[in-house]
Amino acid sequence: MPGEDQKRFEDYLELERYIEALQEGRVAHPPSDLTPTQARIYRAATLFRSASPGAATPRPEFVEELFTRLLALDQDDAATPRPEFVEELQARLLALDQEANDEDTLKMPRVKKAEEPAVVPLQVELETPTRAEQERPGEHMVAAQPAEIEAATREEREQSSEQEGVVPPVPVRKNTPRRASFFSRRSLLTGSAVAAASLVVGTGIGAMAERSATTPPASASHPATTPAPTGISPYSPSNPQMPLVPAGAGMWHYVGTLDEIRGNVRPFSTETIVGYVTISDGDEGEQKDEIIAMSAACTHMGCLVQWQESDHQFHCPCHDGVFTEYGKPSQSGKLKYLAPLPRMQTMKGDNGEVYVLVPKSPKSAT
Amino acid sequence: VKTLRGAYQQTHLAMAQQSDGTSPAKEQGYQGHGSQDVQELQTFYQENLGLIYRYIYSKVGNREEAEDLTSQTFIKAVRSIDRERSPQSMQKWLFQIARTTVADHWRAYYRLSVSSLDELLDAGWEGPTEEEPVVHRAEPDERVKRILKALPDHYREVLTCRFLLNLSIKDTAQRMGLTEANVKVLQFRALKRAADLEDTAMETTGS
Repeated sequence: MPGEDQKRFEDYLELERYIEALQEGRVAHPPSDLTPTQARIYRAATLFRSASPGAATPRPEFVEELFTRLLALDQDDAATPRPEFVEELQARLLALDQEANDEDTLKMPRVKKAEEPAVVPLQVELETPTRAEQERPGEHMVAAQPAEIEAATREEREQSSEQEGVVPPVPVRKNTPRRASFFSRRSLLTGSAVAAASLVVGTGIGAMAERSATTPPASASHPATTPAPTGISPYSPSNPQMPLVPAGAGMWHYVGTLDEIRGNVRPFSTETIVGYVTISDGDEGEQKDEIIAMSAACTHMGCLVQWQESDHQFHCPCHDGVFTEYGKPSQSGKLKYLAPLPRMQTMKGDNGEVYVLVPKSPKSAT
Repeated sequence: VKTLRGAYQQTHLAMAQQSDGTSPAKEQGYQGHGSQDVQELQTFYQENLGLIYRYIYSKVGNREEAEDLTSQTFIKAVRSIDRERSPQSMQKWLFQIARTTVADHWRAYYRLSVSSLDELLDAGWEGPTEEEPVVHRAEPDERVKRILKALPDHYREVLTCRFLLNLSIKDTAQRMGLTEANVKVLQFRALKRAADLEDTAMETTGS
């Protein structure tokens, strides 16, 4: 009998500890050795906690952030254009570009087909470190994922990996593949609706951005004139300077000469991306003379923004998003909380040629 | 520059037309560039976020996990959303996802001790459910109110103090003229009774 009483006393204490944790808003889990009756008691406590004033009201920031993520996800999934569509769009853009060239009688260099290396020596150097990864991108993903999952899930972090063996086989095996893909995508999206939203143009990019999240740093050797691109982690809005295209997934695309670009906002397009390039005058906190290349995909829904000379800003035709000439969200736009247009790395040649690191086309990658 | 701007606008139109030509559901989503699509998603979100969040909160009891699991639920939902569903069946389905998401969460947490997991599942922690999910017509705080009403006075009072007023065990004891040890026993029993009441309520109103 005394033993029984003692046991009961501990149950009361245990429950009190749980209630205290609930009151303080801490993450608390009922003990795992509960009897069914006890489990129901803890369940009732949790239910009652949710009736505490304000407790079960979602934070506005959370509501907003999750919606942004969902939008991006929805776009990413539903709006990834078919490859044929991308090709056709590309063809149209090329044609239009050339029309424009003819009319403007600008000496704009012809946009080269993506299969032809834009600049031969560079291309060769860039290819080398990434070849292995091109051959088997799938394996990289798979290999990298367990680590990601562990980093991403709290409950798994709490348990060391050798405990995998103890796991009940049925539920866990059923779970693992789904979680894996979920979390690999999530790591890309966490706090970064932007990356996905801006990837709408171009099928290859999504895959690459995802791969980039799992690819170990490629130690590419680059011409001495350029800083070695190190962008390996996924694009993050908290660091808008992080390039959209990581070194291993890109190829250098010629966009014009310094003289042609200076004082202009110059559009360019490749098989995989549409963007603009300009040179900073040193305003808006940008470094003077910095070459700025950005994606033209609006960070809201991925429509292509258009440059308006009259007010010197980019305008999105879909929902009136407005960006400054350097791709920062403009105060004059109707949309709040826009992320800046993602940037791409640029590089200067010896004779003032400007190149932008654009995603490789899916074709040239195979 | 002017010409190029024109060019981009045309491209844009071309994009819209392109997706007009072939129009399975996915293309239509793209064509809308959102507007209609986004609105749909927004409506769906606004109508359900609070519901799902409160449901999940009533299962885990803390913000951190509630946010995490709510996010997971909606992400799963959006990825496999079937826009042809009626709002009602969409909601039912969303609750189903929320339920399995919570179940997965517990499973991951408790998977260390298999036997206790079975017990938990037997005990009615949201287990892996293939059967029809119970749709909670009433929101958690409604259910709590109903339970409180049905409880004997001293049970109602101790639970009100601890959960609705968020009083400490000490303050609760003072207020009720009991010792802290008494309060611990009382709240244990009150919750046990509450669980009984909730179960009977579920049997009668659950579908």
